[in-house]
Amino acid sequence: MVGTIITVATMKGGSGKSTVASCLAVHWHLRGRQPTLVDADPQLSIMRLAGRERALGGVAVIEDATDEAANTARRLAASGSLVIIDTPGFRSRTALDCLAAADFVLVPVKPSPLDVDRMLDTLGSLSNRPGGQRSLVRCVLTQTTRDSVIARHIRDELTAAGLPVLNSEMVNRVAYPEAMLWGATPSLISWKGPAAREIAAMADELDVVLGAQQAAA
Amino acid sequence: MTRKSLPKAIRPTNVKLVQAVVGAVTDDDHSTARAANEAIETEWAQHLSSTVPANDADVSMSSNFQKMTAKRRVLAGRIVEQNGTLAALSGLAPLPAVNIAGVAAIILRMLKQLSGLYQVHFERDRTRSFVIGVLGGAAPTGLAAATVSTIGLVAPVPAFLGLAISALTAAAVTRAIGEVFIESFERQAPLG
Repeated sequence: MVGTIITVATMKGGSGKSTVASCLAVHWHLRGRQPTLVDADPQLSIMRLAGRERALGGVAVIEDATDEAANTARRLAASGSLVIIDTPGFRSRTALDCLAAADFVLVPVKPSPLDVDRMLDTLGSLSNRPGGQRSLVRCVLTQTTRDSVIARHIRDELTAAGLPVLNSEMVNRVAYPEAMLWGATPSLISWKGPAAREIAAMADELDVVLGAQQAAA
Repeated sequence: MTRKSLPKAIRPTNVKLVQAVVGAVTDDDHSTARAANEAIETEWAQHLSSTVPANDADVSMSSNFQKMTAKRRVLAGRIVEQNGTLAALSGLAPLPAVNIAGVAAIILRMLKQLSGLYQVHFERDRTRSFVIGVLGGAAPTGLAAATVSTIGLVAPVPAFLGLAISALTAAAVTRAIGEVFIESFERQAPLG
């Protein structure tokens, strides 16, 4: 059985890649799955979280910020694991290789024109994949101000342009940095809290997309 | 509410890049650079309508997909139940205006959650109009219940009867709307 590689990527720093990757991994871990996080970001944010008290709830974390990160993920996926890769927030060989290795690319984007620009650059690199290989991609709005005009404006514009955007989004909440103090995510601290519910909604949406892909395969 | 007019986030110089990206990321191998939301939503809708028709046992589905849709249905039911309970609690408010506003807000919240679950675009203004319309239609009944509940507070004997009627009505309306929307989403009918 071959597992799935989810690459969380965008060529811009501070967009929430590590947060999205860790939150999804912890959520699925709590739901009884066994995801593995590959920290391919030289900032090692995931590794630092895993080094704190709650250690991301026991999610398996592998540090590989080298050019071999994509191969590491492929090896793990070959053994049937669900692999989530946190990539560097800039254009690099590692980031491009991890994009190429992905079964699914999740692109966090803050509701800001600068993030949108870099998101397009990130997705643009997918259009240059060898053999014209297509990727299953979704963008997810992160760090949004709830019900703000700018968040709705960016969402509407991305959707109108034909870019695939998840319905769920990660609202900017103190629950994230607070949970990080313990090396946790909101799902571990307050399973029924609003942040955890948003993470659950995003994970469920991804399950539907990935399930549809597997059903079609 | 007037909405600010904001300039576009995608620069005109990036239009070609967007087209290339859309062509590269759509799930359909045969599509070119068409709008991905159209492609994805249509594809998903067709996929669902062809693989999850109501009461059609002849269509073969993968077990994964069956499990996934069943799980989604369970989650949807849970959302409706939770919001029905909340609506019942809101229905206990003795003031009719507070009572109705509370129930409307809970129904809106429920529909937003359901549309998120089913990946249907949630249009707040349109949905709000829909909810106001439904509650407006139910207003005579709701107001009657609310009035009874208010009288109930004054008259000591049926003190809790009015509140109970109001709470039950709120829960029933919320659950009924939820079930209707779930069925609608399962059949991929548009929101509202």
